[in-house]
Amino acid sequence: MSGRRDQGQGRGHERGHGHGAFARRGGRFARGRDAGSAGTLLSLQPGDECVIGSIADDCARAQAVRFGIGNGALVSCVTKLPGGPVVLRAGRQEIAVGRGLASRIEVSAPGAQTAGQV
Amino acid sequence: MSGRTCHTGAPAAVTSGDRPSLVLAGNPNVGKSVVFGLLTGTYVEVSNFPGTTVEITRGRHGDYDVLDTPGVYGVGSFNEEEAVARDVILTADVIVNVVDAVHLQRDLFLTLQLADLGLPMVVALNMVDEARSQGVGVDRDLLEDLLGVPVVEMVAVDGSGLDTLVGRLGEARRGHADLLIEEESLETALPGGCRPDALLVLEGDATIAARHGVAAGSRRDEIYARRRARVDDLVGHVVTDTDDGLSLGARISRIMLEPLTGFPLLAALLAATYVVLGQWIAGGVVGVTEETIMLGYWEPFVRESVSGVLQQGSALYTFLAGEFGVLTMTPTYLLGVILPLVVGFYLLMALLEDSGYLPRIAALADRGLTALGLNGRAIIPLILGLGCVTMGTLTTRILGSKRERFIATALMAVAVPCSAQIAVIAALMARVGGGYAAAYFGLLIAVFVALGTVLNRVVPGVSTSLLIDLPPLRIPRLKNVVRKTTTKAWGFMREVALFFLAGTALISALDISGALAWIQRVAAPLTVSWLHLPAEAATAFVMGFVRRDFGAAGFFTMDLSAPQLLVAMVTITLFVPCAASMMVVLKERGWKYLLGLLGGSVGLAFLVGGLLTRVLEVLS
Repeated sequence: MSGRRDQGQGRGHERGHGHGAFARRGGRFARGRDAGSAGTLLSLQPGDECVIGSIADDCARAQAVRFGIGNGALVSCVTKLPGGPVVLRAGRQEIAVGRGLASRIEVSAPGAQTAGQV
Repeated sequence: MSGRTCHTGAPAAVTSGDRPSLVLAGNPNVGKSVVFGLLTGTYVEVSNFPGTTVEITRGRHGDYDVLDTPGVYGVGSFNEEEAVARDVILTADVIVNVVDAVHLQRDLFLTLQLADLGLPMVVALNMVDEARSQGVGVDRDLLEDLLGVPVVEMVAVDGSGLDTLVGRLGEARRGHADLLIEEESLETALPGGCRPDALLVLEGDATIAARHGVAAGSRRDEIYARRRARVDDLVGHVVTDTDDGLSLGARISRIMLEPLTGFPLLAALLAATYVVLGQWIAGGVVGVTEETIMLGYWEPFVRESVSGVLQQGSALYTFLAGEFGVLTMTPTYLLGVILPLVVGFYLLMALLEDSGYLPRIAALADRGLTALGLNGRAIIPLILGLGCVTMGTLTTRILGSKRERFIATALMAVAVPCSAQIAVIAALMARVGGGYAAAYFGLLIAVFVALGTVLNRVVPGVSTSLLIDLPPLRIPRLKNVVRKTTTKAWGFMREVALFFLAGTALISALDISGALAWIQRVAAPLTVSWLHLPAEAATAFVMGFVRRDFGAAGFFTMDLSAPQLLVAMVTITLFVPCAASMMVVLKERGWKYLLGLLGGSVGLAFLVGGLLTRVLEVLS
């Protein structure tokens, strides 16, 4: 488990380097059950980076922009609690996103950020 | 265009006449309250209007009326807490916007919104020491230029920067606003209105729109996106981040949130809490304060002194030194039984709040609470409810929907015992085996889960999902923890004392008038036949209408068997919430809800109590 943490440590600060973290998914993080929800926050594994896309919830969308995890923001996944929230990191900010909301937030691989990037 | 002339419908409670108001605004956990303490000195009046995380604190600084607001990430109406902050912010003559130098990316969103609203302000750039130690540099001069308002560096916990802040209050002015928010569109959104209200209407704030009788605008996404872009741009210019590793706090945070370490850590914390509060304080400390000091020395001393003056059995003797006497049971109960646990509990709460662990518990509890129609955020009012249900009920304002507030309020009113009650019950349970105490808490948790599951099925509406900011972990400052604990514990004890005295007066009146005997007779089918308790148990339930812990205390002098005690404690806990929290429920949820709650809790209490009686009798 300390290995997991070590893997995570460097990542929060890789933002800006443009690594395609989607591709770096380690074997032990790849879980088959998330395969169907690819493209939302739920598809992220700890250590992955992504760019936030559309958020299908008015209130959450506004709050996400305030937190700095709105449309176009580059975030990394810190951890996922089983059946529970996805924890994101954007800069020095950590935010827990409940599962229901996470399934309504689209993400794309970094580097592919185009529309909505501000 | 003044922010002072046109906010219609803002609660009158927040404005107080002639003095100009200085409002502290900022994100949660940035040190607003510390700045408040610095500005106002020792005079701190904690107004009772909303609860812990949702309260407005007032004080004075020179000519200013200083108001502290709940921490918010923006001005709007997304939850009730935000609405409270919004109304105070809109009435401000001067705003001191406290920002955390480490988290400008997040905090400056509110700053720029305040600038867009056109409110005169000064920015207090707090925690510059922490930023420096984390390798974050902020160019204050440039930030001041780009924002267009005074920016003052502070380390509020050390008092540094206060003089500069005070010196520059007079320079407060409107910041550079978004130039693409045209005067015409503001005028169209709210004809003849002032800028702050007009902008909020344009941003789709339904409450403000309704106050002015206009339709809410639809430009929020566009305005927010541009504001975010401006923040990112500002941060790109003024912040230099030279750190290339995670801080210790961030590493510990990760351990707290990793499933494999986070849950065991939380379990360990709960176990430690049980040992400290349940065994050391409720057992050890209360053993000394209640048994040795109050019952051993104080009460005999009082009885002897009073009987020297008054005749034993006279009404005044009973009032002063009788079973519920104001000189006997009252101080024993308040100081001997309740005070140690209440202080212990608020100390723990202060540590949880100040360390930043509470939001992480919310993340860990999210999965479980989702099954009850809540999300992880609800753990905050629920934990506060363990301190004081009234406080917990007020704090349901931080929940995102009416449905969640409905469920959380009911769960707390029915199945969450407050610290005073836990103290009384722990003292009573100490008479019987530890198995009964475990059964008591086990049953309460079962009722809590069952009730939540049922409410989740039947309450209409949709619950919101968790979206919570996890603040940086910090080592709590002793001074702050002590201050917070004493303030909260004092406030709580004052309320308990007040209701205890009122309750004692009520019981005495009922007793003397003979009404109590009548109630005991009428309630006998429930108490004696159904719960198999003595007829006097009715007295405890009448006391339970005043306060549940007071009700539990009513069983103190009854001679009950261990199973009877368990039945009594479970029933009185599930029984109606205390009078103070009933008042808050009435205010927050309305009378229909309150009536339903009272009916439901009384019904459930006797149903569970009666079933438990039978199960225990079969088992023995």
